[in-house]
Amino acid sequence: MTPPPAVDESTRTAGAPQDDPDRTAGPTPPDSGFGPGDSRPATLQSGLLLGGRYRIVERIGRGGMGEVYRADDLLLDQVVALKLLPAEFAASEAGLARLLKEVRVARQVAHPNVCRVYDVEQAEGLRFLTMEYIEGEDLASRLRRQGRLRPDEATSLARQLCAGLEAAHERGVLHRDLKPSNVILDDRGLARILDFGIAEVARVVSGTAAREGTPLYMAPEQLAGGEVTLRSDLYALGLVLYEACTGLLPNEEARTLEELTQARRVAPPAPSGKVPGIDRRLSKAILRCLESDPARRPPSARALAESLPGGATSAEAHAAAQRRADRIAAFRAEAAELRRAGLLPIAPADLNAVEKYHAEILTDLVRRHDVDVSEAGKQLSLGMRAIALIGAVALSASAFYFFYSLWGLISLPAQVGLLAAGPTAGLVATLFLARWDRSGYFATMSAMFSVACLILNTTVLWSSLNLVPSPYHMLPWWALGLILAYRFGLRLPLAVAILSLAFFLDAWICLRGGLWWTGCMHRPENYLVAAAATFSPLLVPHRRNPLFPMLYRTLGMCLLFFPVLFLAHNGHLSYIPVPSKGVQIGYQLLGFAASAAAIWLGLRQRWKEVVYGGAAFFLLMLYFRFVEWWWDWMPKSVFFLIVSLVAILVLLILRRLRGVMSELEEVRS
Amino acid sequence: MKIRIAPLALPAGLLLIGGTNVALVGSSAWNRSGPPAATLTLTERELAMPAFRDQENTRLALSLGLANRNPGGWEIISYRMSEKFPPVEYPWLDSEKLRSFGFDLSMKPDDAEAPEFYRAQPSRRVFLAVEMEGEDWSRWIAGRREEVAKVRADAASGTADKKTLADAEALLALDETSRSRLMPLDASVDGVALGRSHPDAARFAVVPGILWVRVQERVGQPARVAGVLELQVSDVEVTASQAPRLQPWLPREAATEYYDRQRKIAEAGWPPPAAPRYKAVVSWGRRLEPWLGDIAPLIEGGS
Repeated sequence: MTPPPAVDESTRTAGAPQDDPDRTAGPTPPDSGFGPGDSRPATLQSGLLLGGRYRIVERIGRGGMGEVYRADDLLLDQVVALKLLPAEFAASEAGLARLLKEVRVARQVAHPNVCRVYDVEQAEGLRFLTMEYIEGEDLASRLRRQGRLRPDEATSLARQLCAGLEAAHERGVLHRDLKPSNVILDDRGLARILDFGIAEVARVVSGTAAREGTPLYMAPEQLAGGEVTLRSDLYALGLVLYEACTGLLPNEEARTLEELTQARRVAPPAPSGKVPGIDRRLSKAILRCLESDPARRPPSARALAESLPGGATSAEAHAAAQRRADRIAAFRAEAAELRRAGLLPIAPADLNAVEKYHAEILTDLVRRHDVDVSEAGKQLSLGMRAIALIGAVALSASAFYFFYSLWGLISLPAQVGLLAAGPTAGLVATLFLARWDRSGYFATMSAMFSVACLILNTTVLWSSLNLVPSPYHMLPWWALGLILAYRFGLRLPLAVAILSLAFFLDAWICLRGGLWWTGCMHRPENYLVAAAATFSPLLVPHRRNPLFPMLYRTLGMCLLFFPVLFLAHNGHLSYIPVPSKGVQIGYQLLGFAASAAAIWLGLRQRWKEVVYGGAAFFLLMLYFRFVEWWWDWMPKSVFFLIVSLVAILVLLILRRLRGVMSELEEVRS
Repeated sequence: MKIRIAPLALPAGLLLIGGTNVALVGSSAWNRSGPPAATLTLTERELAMPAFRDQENTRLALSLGLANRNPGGWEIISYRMSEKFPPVEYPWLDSEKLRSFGFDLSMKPDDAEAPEFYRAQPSRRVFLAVEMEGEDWSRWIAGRREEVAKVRADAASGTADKKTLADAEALLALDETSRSRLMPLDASVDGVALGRSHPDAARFAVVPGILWVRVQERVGQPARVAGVLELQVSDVEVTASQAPRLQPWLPREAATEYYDRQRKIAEAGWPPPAAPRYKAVVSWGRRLEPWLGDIAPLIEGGS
């Protein structure tokens, strides 16, 4: 391992660089970057008051680009970190400009994984930068002390750094100096990126400015004086993670820039091969970052995060973000109640700090995941989902009628081209919209348009070519629905896929039995096969799409219970070779037993949709039974009285059940 | 092995869309390759025009109908009138034949639950051997003429009124001039065997059909369980290049105008018999799927 430059203090640090001697600056040639910097700011004494506001507590870091002190902000009663520039920089206009730029750039990025920078101040002849103070340790020190991180720590670090870097890149900020000493781990394991000293608000940095940074953590294109892009930051991130996982840099033997440049051309060995226990997905993700060709690296920090172990798809990330927002809302409401009751004494400053912290998180969640932060917002979102569906139907209808207006006027090849263009355009549009719009509403519309156009495509060609109708044309609908659903985490295309497969299975079984297949419920038991097929994906975890199991369960229950309900009154449609009455009684008993089992299972597994579905079908079964038993001969007043009495009985049973469940919850907790 | 969906989505989707279209077009091309399994020349009676113009849809397809379809095009007369048309009966489609397709005929047709019982029985996929204006159709139309002759005799003797006679003669005129003559001769689940027993490709066609059962009730006759036949491909597409040949006879009326006119016809009696205006060659290929060949006018005014 390349010995890190000496740093005075290491175990307690703040938002500041500590080993800046590694960094090359401005016009300084890159190959001089290995030597320690020689500019040192004056050391400040503890207790010194700067500008009547900041009382110096202690020095917590020192590097080539300045010293960092812990200080008390007497005005706001907060602990802050102060970064002082070296004396010769502080005195120059260039130094001030640099400091201002750092604040300007750093302020663009507000994220829990990025250290906050407050302002530039001048006092007692010193220019300094105020920033968030973080109780913790920088990664470089941690690695020196510990050798390497545990595999789970490394994975967590990778996710957090991806999140922080993504936030910066989204704002068009290139960090350009990511390295272990610019990452701070607080005592809760929260990682923060700091030091935006040479960061730029740009998509591409080229020319002399591109050579700034720390050569040990530079991407090959940066070492070669080429263009620096967000993929260069990802290369640096790969090196940081490699070092965090293995305790070593991949090119540790390189001593000069030439050696380093040469070494960068060789793919490093996989971290998982060097250190047992490292997740192979993390190892592969790191190696992708360390590709010498920028084009072969992940396209974004977000894409990299998705490829990490437990990496979230946008759907999963959105679900997790919404849960976080809900927890914050619940916390705020309960904390307000407790304060009103006088049970939560909290200083206004602490309360403000928590509020500010939550506000920042919510802002970030809204910006990145379009979460709802209020009940009204949630209700509006529900309405927006419905509008997206209506919009998709209207858009599809428009495409249908557009084609109908041309159908008889164009040749078959033109028809095929036009018909295939619809689903293709929908698919490509979904790809773009999913990137552009994180709410997913437009992607949903586009995905449904794509599926609807494929339905149009197959049905129209079936007619145009005079083909014998076949259920097999439903399989492409199913497949496209699945592709769109799993690629973009969209539920509506998944619902279309599930229903297409259900109708296909019904039709296919009819066809195999020599029956004509159009229509449904000719043979209701066919749908029990479809229900089994719908439940089967639940056997595998849906970690990346946490909302899909709910849809599988809901539609699976519909495909199970509706045929049972139908057969409970139409026994002659069954395959079972017993008299119709016997079949009906069998399915009636099965309906009651299955819906009761669904309620029990739903309560046990906390699947509310299963509980609701089971309860709804139980009542439907009961209602149809009552109608069949009593409607014809019983006075209607008595009939409805009995129905109401049964409802009261069910309410009493459920109330009792609820009490038992609460007791069980208490015992469990 | 875990499969990452993200990078595969676009190529997989494009492959799916392209593959689906290639499969459909390829299937049709294969059907039409080689000599046709059957080629029949049909007229407007068997290949009806759409009944009215759809302003939003430029598609043109001719409706291929078996002999049991009523004259004209789709819904050419009102439902109330269509019920009065004498059904075309197929003597070969008896109870034994229906049972051979798996239908349950255990319930008597006059049972109160019989209509629902038979309606609930799923339709069967069958192959039909059909013949254009063959012996079976000639026999059926001869029987119809005898029926009407008997009504004439009854009217002459005063046992039937003038209205009954007028209705019978109007319906016979429609049977003779407007109703389809494409007569099903047999049905089987084995299309190949059916083709072997009807080898003349210029007289017979084996086509995919659908068979179901219904309780048939006619005034003055006991209820009976009858087999109902339909074609799986009942619309034959007219391509953009063929459409101009049918231009003179394309429907001009919109749906509302058409239904208004039909209502007036139904109030007045029966639609006048209309001779077919065009003929067309229909071929069936390897997959027994049809396509339209030459179209020629039968009356002046056609192109």
